[in-house]
Parts: sequence; C-alpha cells; structure tokens
Amino acid sequence: MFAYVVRRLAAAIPVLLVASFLAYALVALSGDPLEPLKLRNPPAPPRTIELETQRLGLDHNIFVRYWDWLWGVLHGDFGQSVQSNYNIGANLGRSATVTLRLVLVAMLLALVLAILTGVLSAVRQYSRFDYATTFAGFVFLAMPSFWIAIVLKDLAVRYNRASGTTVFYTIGETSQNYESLSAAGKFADVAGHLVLPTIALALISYAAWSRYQRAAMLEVLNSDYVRLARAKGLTWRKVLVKHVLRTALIPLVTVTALDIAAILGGAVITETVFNWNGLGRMLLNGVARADTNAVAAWLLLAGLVVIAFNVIADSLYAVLDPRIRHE
Amino acid sequence: MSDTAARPTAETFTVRERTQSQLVLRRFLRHRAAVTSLVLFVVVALFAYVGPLLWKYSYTDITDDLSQPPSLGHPFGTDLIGHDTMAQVMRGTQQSLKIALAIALIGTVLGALWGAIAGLYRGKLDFLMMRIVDVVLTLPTIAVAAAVAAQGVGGSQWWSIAVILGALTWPYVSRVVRGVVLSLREQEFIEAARALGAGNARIILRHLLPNALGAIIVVATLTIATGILGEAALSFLGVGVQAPDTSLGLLVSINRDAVNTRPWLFYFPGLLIILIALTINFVGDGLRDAFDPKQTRVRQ
Repeated sequence: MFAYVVRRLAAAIPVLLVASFLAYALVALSGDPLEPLKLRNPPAPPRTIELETQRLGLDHNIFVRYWDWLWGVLHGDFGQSVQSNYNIGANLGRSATVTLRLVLVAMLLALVLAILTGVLSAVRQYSRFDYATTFAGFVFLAMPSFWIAIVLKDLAVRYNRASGTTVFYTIGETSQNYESLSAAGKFADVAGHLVLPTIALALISYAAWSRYQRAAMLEVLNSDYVRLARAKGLTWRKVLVKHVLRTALIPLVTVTALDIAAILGGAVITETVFNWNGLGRMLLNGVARADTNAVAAWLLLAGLVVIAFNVIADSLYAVLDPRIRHE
Repeated sequence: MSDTAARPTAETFTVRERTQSQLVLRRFLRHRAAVTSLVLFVVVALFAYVGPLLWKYSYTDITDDLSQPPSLGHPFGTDLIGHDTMAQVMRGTQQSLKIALAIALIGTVLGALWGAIAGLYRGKLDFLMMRIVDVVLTLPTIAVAAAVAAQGVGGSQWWSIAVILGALTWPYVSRVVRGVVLSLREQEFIEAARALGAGNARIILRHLLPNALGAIIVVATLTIATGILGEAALSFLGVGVQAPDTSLGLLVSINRDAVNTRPWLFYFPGLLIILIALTINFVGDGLRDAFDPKQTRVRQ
C-alpha cells in the first residue's frame, strides 16, 4: 500500500514540473509587467525601467528565469513581485489557508449530499424523489457558479434586512473585529462567513456527483453478486452498505479527483462575489499586473493540490477495491 | 444452393430494416426531455440571431427610457443609461453561443485526433501524449485562461477567448475518444483494413473516428455547455468579452449590483445562460441514450 502511494507520487512529479513550466512560460510570454511604467505620462526614466527589468530578471531568457524561480521556490523564496513591497510566499500561505478551508468544507458538503441523494434515488429509481433530484441536478449543473453565489447573497441580504440582524455574513472571510475575538468567537466567526460561499461552491459539484453516484449505484444494484448476496440471506441494509455502496463509490472517487482543478477555479469566482481576500483575489491581482512570479506560484500551488487529491484518490481505490491492493 | 428455400422471405420479418442513423434518430425522438430541449435551444438560437433583425432596438441604441422595469415597449426593461435590455440580451446570447460553439469545435477536433492517435499507436507515444493531457488537466482552466486573457492576447476578440478556452478543453475530449479507440482498434474491421494496406492516417480518419462518432458527438455537445459557462466565468472576472460588445456573462457581471434594485437586468441574461446550458445538457443526455446500443427499451 505504502509502495503503491510512493509510486503514484513519483509519477506525478514530472507532470507537476512540466505543468509549472508551462504555466510560467504562458504568463511570462503573454504580458509585459513593465508596460504601465513604459506608457506612463510623463515617461519613466530609462534608468528606472532598466532597474525594474533587472530586479524582475526580465533580461534573461524564459528558461533561465524559470530555473531561477523554481530553485528559489524549492528554497522557500518565491522571487520578486511586480509590486516591490509584496511578499509572494507570505501572501500565498495566508490566502491558501483562507481558500482551502472553503474548498474542503464545500467538497465535504457536496460529497455527503451527493452520496445520500445518489443512493436514495437509485434505490427508489423512477420515484418522485428520483425525478425531483434528477431535475434539480440538471438545473444546478447549468447554473454559472457566480450566478448562484449572487442570488444567495441577495437572498441573505434581504433576509438580514427584514429581520434587522446579521444572520448571514455576506462580505469577507472574517469580521472586522476578528483579531479581538476569543478562540470560540473566532471559530464561530469563520464558520459564519463560510456558510454562503460553501453552499454556492458545493451546489455545482453536488449536481454532477449525485448523477455519477446514482448511475454507479444502479449498475451495481443490477449485478449478479448483489443478487447472490441477497440470495445468501444477507439483510438488505447490509448488502446495500457493504456490497453495493462500497463498489459504487469508486467512480465517485475518480470524478472528485478530476474535478478538483475546476473546484479551485470555482472558488476564485465564489470568493470574488463574497469579497474574500483569498486565493481568488491573489490570482486576479497577479494576473492584472502580469506578475509572473506570483501567478506561477499560485498555479504551482493549484497543481500541488490537484496532484495531492489524485494521490489520495489512488489510495482510496486501494481501500475500496482489494484487487488493487494486492496487485 | 439448397439454402435458397430456407432463406426467409421479406414477409417473415416483422421488424423493418433500419440503418444505424435511423435507429439513433428514432431513439433520440423517444427521449421527451431531449426533444423538448432541442426545440427550446432552437428557439433561443432564433431569438439570438433572427431576433435582432426584427426587434426595433439595437444593442447599441440608447433610448430615453432609463431604468424601466419590463413593459410592452421593453419586455426585459432598460438599464441606467437607457439600453434596451432585450436587445442587449439578444446580442449577448449571440456572442456567447458563437464563443461556446467555437470552443466546442476546437476542443472536439483537437481532442478527437489526439485521443485517436494515442489510442491507435499505444506504447510510448500513447504514454507521452496522455501525460501531456495530465499536465493540462493539472491546471485550473479558469485560472490559466484568466492569466492569458487578461493580457489582451488577440486584442480581446471573441475568437481569442474561444481559442484560449478551446485549448484548455481538448484534454477532456481526448480521454473519452482514446477510451473508445482502445476498444475499437482490437476489432476485426481494423485488422481487415490493415490487411488491405490502409495506413494509420486512413485508419484513423476513415475507420476509427467515424465509428467513435457517437461518443464524440455526445462529448462535443457537453463541451458546448461547459463552453457557455466558461465564457460566462471569464467575462464575469472581467477578462472575457469587453464593452462596447457584450455577452451573457458580461451582462450578468456588470449588473450584479442591480440584483436588488433592478433585478430584471441581472436575471434575464442569467436565465438565458441557464436555459442554454440546461437544454444542451438534456440534448447530450438524449444523444448518449440514442447512441447506446445497449438501449433496448425502444426496439418494439
């Protein structure tokens, strides 16, 4: 099992390196960070432009720049930002803690809901519950994530206004007075701010995942070994949990791991709607300034998260499917 | 020959002979949600492309009616400076549909060829090609697209957005097509084509891709839906379609603060996005069932 995970991890490292180079080159070649300086009126002195070029390493070719950047990152130095007083590493760490808690909670919520509805609608196929959740799933799947987020936010603002108290937090990842709160107060504050963005982000994944779970359940339910398990005299509940659900979770693990990159993208959008200061704002700020080192660091982190989840998924296969374990 | 007498005459068959495409069409037409969706989608497309020819306002017209709620004169209302929202939504739908179709076209052609080549050749080439797919799938589409589009590559034209998103969509298609090709390549008709001296290019273009067409059409349909949502997301982040032109995503984005005070500005373009993505997904679902030969319930 351990060797299996290590092997998967080793296979992922070249993919991550190529992806990070590709990301670095794309950002570096698509824009010039010194353009605002060059177009400034009155024009910036040539000496300033020269110094900035040297500070950002723009006078080297793309391979040298990437290598210097990668070497720095491996030693904990994320390089110079276009904004001279901006610490990329510190900001990436802070933004990541903010955003990853949103991503993880949303994924957990989406998974629990998807498994519950997937199982129920497969067991009661063509029931009213099945039709209702199928239709709802299609509608959620067709909704842009920012649209759901804006509608939820509007409903919450209306509710707050009608009730005269702040029941739902609609702005930011914490309150203004966060630092002065007690430990329990901080936890409640973070949880309160998480509610709406989590629902907005979870709904989209839930829609797709519940469809997959339903299809997988139906396929397993109609298989011979389930009929055999029933014929042996096992209770329905035991068959469902130990024989059907366990096997039917395998496709869901695959899709979840495949969707991680899309969920990170969705988090960028959800955060924008709720004015969070997380990875979303960091990316958009970096992108607007053609800040190669910052955006490349962002994409490297995203790639790491995606690969981490793929390795977790691979290990979960081994847990769910004994054939893989004994390979 | 003696079996001439045993050969069944036309009358003994109760099932009429049908070609593959006739069967697919029949199965599709029995899928009520898919057919309804196809009709709705055609209505939306007519609204977007024929509507502007008939409607009295253009999306650039500025009328004297400011911030009007929906009425007979302006079915979708007007915005703060007097644009007719229905004319804007028509133009937005046009641009969004055009971009989504281009994304689907680029993604499908590239992905189908990539997947077919990898699946046919197997071995080292397949390994290398699929690792490249992994590389692209490792990066969040929206983040990479935003990073490239923000610099105004291609002058922020509609096709530059389509090219960027299409270039990030093909890996999904290639995985599906490779899977189908892997099973097709083992079948006898490929062996027969080889025996007749067909080269790899001919086998891919004349034998593998046509036989994988069902899977390709289904995944292409679903790509249109993700294309619509991708364009909307990019425009929402401010790096997609730029004013004075417009798209459904841009309309939702610029009217997001009006959701409470002038909801018609926010809800109409948003509902159009949902309607397009929803109908296309249902059509894709219907096509999937129609192309699935295991589907037996319609053979009556």
